[in-house]
Amino acid sequence: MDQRAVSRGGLDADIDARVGDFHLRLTLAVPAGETVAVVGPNGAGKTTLLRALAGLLPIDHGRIEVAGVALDEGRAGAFLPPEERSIGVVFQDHLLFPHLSVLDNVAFGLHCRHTPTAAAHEQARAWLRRVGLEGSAAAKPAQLSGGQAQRVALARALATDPTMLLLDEPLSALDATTRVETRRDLRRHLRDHPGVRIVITHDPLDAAALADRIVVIEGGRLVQQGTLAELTAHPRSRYVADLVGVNLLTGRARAGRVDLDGLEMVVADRVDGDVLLAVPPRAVTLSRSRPEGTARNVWPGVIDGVDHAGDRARVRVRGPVTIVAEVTDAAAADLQLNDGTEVWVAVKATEIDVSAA
Amino acid sequence: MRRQPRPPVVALVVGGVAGAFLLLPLAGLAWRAPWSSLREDLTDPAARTALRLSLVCSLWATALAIAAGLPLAWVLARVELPGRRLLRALVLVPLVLPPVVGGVALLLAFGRRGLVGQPLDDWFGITLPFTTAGAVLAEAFVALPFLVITAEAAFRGTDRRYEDAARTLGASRWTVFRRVTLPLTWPALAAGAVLAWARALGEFGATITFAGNTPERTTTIPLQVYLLLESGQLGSAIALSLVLLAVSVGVLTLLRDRWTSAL
Repeated sequence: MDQRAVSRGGLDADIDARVGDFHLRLTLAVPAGETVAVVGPNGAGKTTLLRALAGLLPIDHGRIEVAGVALDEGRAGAFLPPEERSIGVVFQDHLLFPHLSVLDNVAFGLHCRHTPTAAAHEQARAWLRRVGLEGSAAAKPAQLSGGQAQRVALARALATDPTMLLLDEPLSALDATTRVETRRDLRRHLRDHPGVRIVITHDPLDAAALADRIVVIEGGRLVQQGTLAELTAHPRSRYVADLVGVNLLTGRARAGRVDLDGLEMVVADRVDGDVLLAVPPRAVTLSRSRPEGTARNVWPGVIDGVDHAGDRARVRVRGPVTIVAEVTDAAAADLQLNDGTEVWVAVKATEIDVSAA
Repeated sequence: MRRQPRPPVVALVVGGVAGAFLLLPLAGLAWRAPWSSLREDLTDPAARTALRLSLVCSLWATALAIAAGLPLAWVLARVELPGRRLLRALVLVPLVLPPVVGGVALLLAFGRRGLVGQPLDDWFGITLPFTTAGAVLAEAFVALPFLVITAEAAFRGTDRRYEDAARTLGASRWTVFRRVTLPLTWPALAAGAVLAWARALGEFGATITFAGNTPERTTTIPLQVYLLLESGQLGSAIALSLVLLAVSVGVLTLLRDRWTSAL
């Protein structure tokens, strides 16, 4: 069953909502057929955004529209409660109804739409087949593994053929092995769904694997959006830089020199004023003695942590500025890089990406 | 191995006395029970009428408490009302109010000259005091708090995200309640209903004050026990008392796990 040909309208949201002291204020447009990952630190407003889109939290001002239908126009206008929206939500802990069988869980939305029981069960069974769990139809949710529960939750959300699919940390409850496999399946099911797809996650890997576009929110505001490559190349905040693994430094630039509060760096780009410097960890070289070469940005530092990932090591160096270098494990061993080791840091001017802050 | 510290003797003695104080009357009941004539005592026409009336009244009272108490409990648990704390405290009043006072209050509200009773009588010809319906009302009045407390705690204790999930799947509020909230809280609600029923079954003070003591209409088991004692038929009184005791012990056994897990 390929529904990709069916074209539908997308999401157009302009949200202004307050929950206690927290203020969510952002606009978001997602065309049908695109998967957007919403990432952000804890308390950034990811779940609030999801609740607003689902209708579990009415917005104060603005407008949420999907496929031309106004779902919420703020206090002054129309408001469609969740049960009247064409949405499917996969919740963080799956929230399968513990008292219903797997089949009845998947058929729940169809029952609510007054589909006759036999037809509802037939459709639910078809969805279970698609997620590979037809054999568990009679089981209770408590008998499922985490990965299976996730797939049932997805089938339940998709069974009503919603125009907008919302997933809240769909993989966070899973262990590492199940996660990779479930992520691959989820990616496939998302692609098959013709509507708007929004995935909330804190894991850049999940975001990169599942989404066409990443939207970063912090403190209730949208700080940056783009593909992972775009985010990596030009991270706009420390959170994004940490997320994609780029060193992000803030300073004041004037005529190719950037004052970094205790260290001056030479850069190739000519941008004046407050700037963000993005330094890829692979562009940072370490040596035990002061390097002689063309690198203009050289400073001494002390190693403050070494993480091994695959055949590479990420080395954190404390100095006038703290920076992360990525070197091969072999190099780390040759240089005897351990906590407390004194090293020289060098970064080529041309490797530094400068953008106005 | 560490030796358990020896418990203080005073605590043991006083505790033992308190335990005996609770158990001795029950032992007395069993000791003086007319075991040989128990069958006759319980199948005697007056006793049978009282037993049947008690069962009917207490079941109606429980049904009334459920019908009125569940919505009230839901509102107390879920709706942000001004004065909700006060309302919650008021619900508990019948729990601590002397039942006789409850009966007097019911008379003032539902009696022939009462706040609601007068219009009921004038307009619809409905009279509640000194009728079986009055006995049901008196029992429901004292039983209601038991149901409301348990149900409210159960509604509060449910993970509301399940209800959110149901709504995103298209369930109306009523469907959410019927297909999600009710099944998730069912054991606690059943426990509340059993408690309310047990309380209704044993109700005496409010019933005799509001509904009187008319055989076949309002003479439930507790009232019959009182009549028998007054007329010196101790054996028959004990026999009927044993029925109530058995029900209490039965309810206690049934709900034991719920209570001990709550403590």
